[in-house]
Amino acid sequence: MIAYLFSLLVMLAVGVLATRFILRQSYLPLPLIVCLGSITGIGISSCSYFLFLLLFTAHAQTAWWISELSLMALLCAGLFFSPSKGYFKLNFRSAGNLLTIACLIVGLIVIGSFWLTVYLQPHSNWDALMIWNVRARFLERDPFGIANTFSPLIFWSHPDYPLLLPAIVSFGLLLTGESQFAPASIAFLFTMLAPLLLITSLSYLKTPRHGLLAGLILFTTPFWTACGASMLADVPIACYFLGTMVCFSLYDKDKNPNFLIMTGVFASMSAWTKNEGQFFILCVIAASVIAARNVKIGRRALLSVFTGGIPVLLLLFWFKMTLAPQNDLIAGQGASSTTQRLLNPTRYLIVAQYFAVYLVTFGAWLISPVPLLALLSPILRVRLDDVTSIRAACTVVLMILGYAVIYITTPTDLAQHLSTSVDRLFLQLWPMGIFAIGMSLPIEEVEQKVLPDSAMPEPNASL
Amino acid sequence: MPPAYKIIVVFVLLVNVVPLLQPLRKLVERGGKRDDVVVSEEKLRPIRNLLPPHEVIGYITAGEVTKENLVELEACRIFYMTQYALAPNILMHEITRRYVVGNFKTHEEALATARQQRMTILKDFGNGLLLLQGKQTP
Repeated sequence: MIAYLFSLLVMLAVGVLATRFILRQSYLPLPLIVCLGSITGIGISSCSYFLFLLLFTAHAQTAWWISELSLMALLCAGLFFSPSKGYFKLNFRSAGNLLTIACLIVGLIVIGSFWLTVYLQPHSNWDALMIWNVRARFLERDPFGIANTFSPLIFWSHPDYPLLLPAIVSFGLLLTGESQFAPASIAFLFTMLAPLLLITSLSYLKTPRHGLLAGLILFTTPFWTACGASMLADVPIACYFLGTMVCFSLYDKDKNPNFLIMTGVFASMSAWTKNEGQFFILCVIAASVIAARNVKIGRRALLSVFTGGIPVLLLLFWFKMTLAPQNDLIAGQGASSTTQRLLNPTRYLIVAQYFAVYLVTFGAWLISPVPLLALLSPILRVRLDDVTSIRAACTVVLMILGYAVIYITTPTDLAQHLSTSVDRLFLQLWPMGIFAIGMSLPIEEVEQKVLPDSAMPEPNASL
Repeated sequence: MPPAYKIIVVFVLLVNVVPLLQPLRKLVERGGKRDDVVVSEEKLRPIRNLLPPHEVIGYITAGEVTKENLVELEACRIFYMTQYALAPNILMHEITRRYVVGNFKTHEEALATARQQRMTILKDFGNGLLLLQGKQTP
């Protein structure tokens, strides 16, 4: 267990140091770097461990330790010798004590609710057990039997799904002697990191009040905590979606091209988490072109995605080409059957009905904040008038449209497919949606950011 | 933001804290009953080390496992739990493999099914768990 806790610390440290190194010329708050870095660190560790599993199999663990510790030492040296800016100081006092205390209390309730759910169902719920955790066991118990792990015989466990979660969980299972603390701790990190990323990013990009309100909205989405505690991949992918959008927004603010590299890193890691991530990359590129109304900027975004994301995308490509069987939704398509489904108006109606209901209820709330947010938008003067908020909103809309097309053409029973997945798909987009709303809320004059003197960057300040 | 709207927003947000307390209710309702998967893991642990590595294993239980309503069917739930416990061996719901795992709710049900299928019991672990010799395909 100690080895696992140490490995967690190492993977988070590598992520934070790498993020700090890439963004060393930017003047960012430390908590924001920690959030972005922690999410990146888990992704880096998952990719490297799976790669070592394929290359060295029996020595994968040793290779992982050597690579992570070497990378950590290199990054420390890099940060020591290259000048970097200091840290922006967030002033949460300006948001008011009530909001800060409410956020803290709800955050603690979320932590309690998460671990109580894990205590009640330590092996997660059905979806996680049948897909993610069973695959992690295959990888951990028999790294030599890779053919069995992705065998089409276990089609029901979706062996074509990407491996961010199974790879990192299998590593944890190996170090803990199959303790369920391994998948639970990874799930816990993702469940907490998305609200924290919302708080820190919006506090920096807008005001601490924006950040805390956004965090509170996500914390008080019961389905978020339930999904997280159930160890489903929808929470991690939501983190990577949000990370992509945050880095794009940071680029819009600072114009530091390294943010675009981070965008690529996050987008590619979303593709390494679930198949929806591959579609997300296309949507975010299209949304950037729409938001900028300039194809040239779209091309730059495309280039950035590939620069930052190429290592992970190559690994994903290798996995899809050599190990993964064909996706069941794609395998079930045929020219005539797909056309038939596309021309069936009843299917559109069913999808529209489900979407209308679940768009309001997917969070398992007692009172949904979605209609309230829609009603209050004119009063709150929500305006989609800058590239950042338009990009985020467009991505959410394009993703919803894409999901609708997938449902309309699904070869499986439509109602069952919708009822078992649509709430999770909306949950994936929820943090990004909250971020888009937060970015489009204007800053009131009284809550303009006040930068204390201590927050100013020191010349040549390093890590 | 006008104060009235602030109150509505805070109310909606705080009301939604209530569902977060649901696990507490579940904990009380469950009493001393343990999680199904934990029980299944303990039951299947002895058979795991007996299975040859990389081999596809047959599976038999009471009730039918069909593709429809997979999760709702109790038999399917037991199948998934068995596969989860016995990974990395692949489990197929058929009895023509060299080895077949029989996972039943009761010992009597297990013995009755083995008799009915005319299968040889290689090891009886009790508690409805059997390792059977598969029926070879002609």
